[in-house]
Amino acid sequence: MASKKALYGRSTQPLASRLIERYQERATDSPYERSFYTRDLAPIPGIVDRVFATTPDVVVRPDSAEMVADVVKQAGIDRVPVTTRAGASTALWGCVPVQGGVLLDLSDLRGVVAIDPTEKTARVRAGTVWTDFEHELLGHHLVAKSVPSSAPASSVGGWLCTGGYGIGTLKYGRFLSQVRSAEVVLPDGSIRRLTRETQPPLQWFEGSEGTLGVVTEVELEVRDASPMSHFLLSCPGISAVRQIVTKLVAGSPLPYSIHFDDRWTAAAMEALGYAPAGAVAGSELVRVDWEGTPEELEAAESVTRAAVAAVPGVSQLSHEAAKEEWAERFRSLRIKRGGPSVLGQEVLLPLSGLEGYLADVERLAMRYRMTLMSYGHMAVPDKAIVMTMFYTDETKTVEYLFSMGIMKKFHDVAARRNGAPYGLAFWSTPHIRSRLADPPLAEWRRRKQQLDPLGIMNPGKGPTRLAAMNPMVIQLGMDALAGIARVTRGGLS
Amino acid sequence: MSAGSPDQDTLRRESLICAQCGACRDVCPAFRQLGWESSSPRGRMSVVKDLTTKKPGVSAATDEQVRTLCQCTMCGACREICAARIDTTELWFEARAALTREGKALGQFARLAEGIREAKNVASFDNETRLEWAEDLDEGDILDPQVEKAEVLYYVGCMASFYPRSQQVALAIAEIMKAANVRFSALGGEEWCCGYPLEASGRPEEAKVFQRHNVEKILASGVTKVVTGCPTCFETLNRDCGDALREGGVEVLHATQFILQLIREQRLELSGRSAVVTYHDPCDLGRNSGIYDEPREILRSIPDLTFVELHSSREGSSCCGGGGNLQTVDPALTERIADARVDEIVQSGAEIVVSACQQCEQVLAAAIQRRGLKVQVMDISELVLDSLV
Repeated sequence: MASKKALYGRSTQPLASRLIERYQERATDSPYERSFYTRDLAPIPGIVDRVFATTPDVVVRPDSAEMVADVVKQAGIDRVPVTTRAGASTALWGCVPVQGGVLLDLSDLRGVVAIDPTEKTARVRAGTVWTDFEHELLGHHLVAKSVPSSAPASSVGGWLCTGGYGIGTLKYGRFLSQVRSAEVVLPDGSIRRLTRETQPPLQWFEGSEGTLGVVTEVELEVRDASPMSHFLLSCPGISAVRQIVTKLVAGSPLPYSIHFDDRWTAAAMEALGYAPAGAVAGSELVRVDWEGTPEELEAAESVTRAAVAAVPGVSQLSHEAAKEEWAERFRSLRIKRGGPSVLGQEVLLPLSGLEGYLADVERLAMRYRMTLMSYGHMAVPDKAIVMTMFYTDETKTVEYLFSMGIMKKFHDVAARRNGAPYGLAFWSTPHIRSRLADPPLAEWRRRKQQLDPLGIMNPGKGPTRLAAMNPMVIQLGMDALAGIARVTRGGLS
Repeated sequence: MSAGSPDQDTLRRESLICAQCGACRDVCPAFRQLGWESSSPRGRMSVVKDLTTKKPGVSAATDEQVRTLCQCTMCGACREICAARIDTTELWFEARAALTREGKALGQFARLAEGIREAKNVASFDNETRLEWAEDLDEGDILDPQVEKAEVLYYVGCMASFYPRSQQVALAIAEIMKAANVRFSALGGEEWCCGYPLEASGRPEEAKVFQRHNVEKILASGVTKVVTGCPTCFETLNRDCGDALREGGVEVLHATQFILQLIREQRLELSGRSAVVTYHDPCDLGRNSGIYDEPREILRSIPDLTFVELHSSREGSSCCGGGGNLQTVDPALTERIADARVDEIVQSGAEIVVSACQQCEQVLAAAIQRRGLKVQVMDISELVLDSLV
């Protein structure tokens, strides 16, 4: 039974009971069912659950915007936190409650509402998984302009609310630029259709991580399905990666997508039997994907060949290997097979800082005597998203906690290169540097205050970090953990 | 299952490797109907992780956890999409075996296993009556196990042997073989259950007894080909008995593969049939055995037939809900999953839905009948028989 206190000291139990009575099989306070909503991708030791109220008091699975609106309204009356989730495919706890309350699982808010092949637009319910959406579009010979790198798991609404960089945004821009409007349930329970011209405007909800309201439907631009071509390049070092990427994003047409693995990632994949045919040991890999008309693809081939010729030591692997890598684009988690656990941090970096960041990470690896693996993709022509990670074992709790400290070092390294965490949610809130936050935290707080004065929407996330996540305390603590990890790994000698 | 045993190590290792990314959720037929995280493959993986990384282990599985681990059709969709390349299907089998070893198996599974153990078939019928359906053949003795120089052994399977609707499939396959002048026989009472229902009930060791028996009898028959119309028997004969049979010079074929061979060799002549037909990929034939093209090629070889694909097909095909012993555990869930598949069939505009699995056909036909729809359910062999000149 629900027992935790709501934001202002009231019990959540009356609300839980009310929602269960009203929504029957679409709501539950079963401890067993609720226990499955306390996690996302981040493997966090159970001890953390004692610090934060990660178990929701009631889980509701709405099947309409009206139901979402009613739940939000009811939660507002009782001052109970509302955390929204669908695919839960990130690792920052954006969709994990930290103060209990209502968990809204939007997974049943799925399906394509309408596709307009002439206008090349579609309206899709927020909980729809990207690959399902793409499947529907293909029936009309259309595809999404871009998709998240977790497309089989993540939802359309989720991507809007968590940043919107992924496969294809290099060519077509951040997801928000493809969104025409969104249906949103605001914290007061009203259902609104938001555009760039409304108040509040649509763009407030980009990367808002469920702190401003619940996106229930998205209207977005799509494109004609087109042929693709793929190239896989072997690069002798991170400098060559930076050079080749710089050349490719400076040309015209723009590649659809550029993905890169540093040599450590490539080596880990090779050890697991996933190396592409012809891969050169000790080299970085860059996959370049193009889409367009046959003429554009012909031009793309020339651009790629010219770039390869211009950077010493870069060689092109077979088209078959490139195609195979593209086919596996949603399986980056294969790398976990070398684990069992992986801890990592995703950062958004200016292209100018990419080489420096990866070099700093290598130095970090030497200092901590560990293997740090990085892979990433070009988010837009001047920005890259890079995931840096290392193997660990979550079953060895003490060692695991110490290694969590190393994650802070990734933030430090990224900040030195003008990079920032890709998403704040919960775990990155202590690490964001105000000058790098987008939107600026003060502006985000102002929006929060305006739309959600009661603070019920996803409290503890984004601009409203918990006292327990005080940056100074957390950073000192993580530095201490990292220090112990360094000593225990023998890195001080 | 004792702590630290190889099987438990596999369960533990793979559940830790699972990143909980959720790619498996939306393709899971159980999750799509039930909607709770507990019913998703990643939910099941959480349960496996809890039971194998925390003390006291599997023996402490709660009723809810046992239910979670058994609410699965073993359709393989989560394995196909897994971003960490985990063989989830294998893991679900191992998890059920672990539950059985720790005395936590569902009562339904225990009763099912007991019936199979005693009768040697899933229907609990007298196994000696396996070939009763063949009495409707003009020359029923063609299936006499003693038929000499048979080139093909028809492994009928429990469904087609005993269930009236599925017996029509057995008749169709036998008639097709006769029409193509194939010399074939069957094992009769010496054909035992393929063992899959035992494996899916968490009893792989008992399944092996059945499989060893079948291999021995097949090899003793002196045939070079075993043909079965049941995808689950086909998958089991290939996966669990394949090495022994191949060593003995025996090839295992599904009826769709064999019928296509006969068509290509022009041993069957098909006449035109005007109808809009769709095809439901059985999970054990498609995703779990990789056979997608043969049934489609058979359908395309029937003149005048209009073939339409379902919304989800081939590797991405939705399950009918009838696999993995789910019907034994949770018949209501099977019905809900089947209803969703029937929605796709209705959407396709097909007059006939063809499949190549007697279990799929039974589950889909029941759903169609429940809803009073006018769609006909046929096995592909029945359609071929109807189209023979």
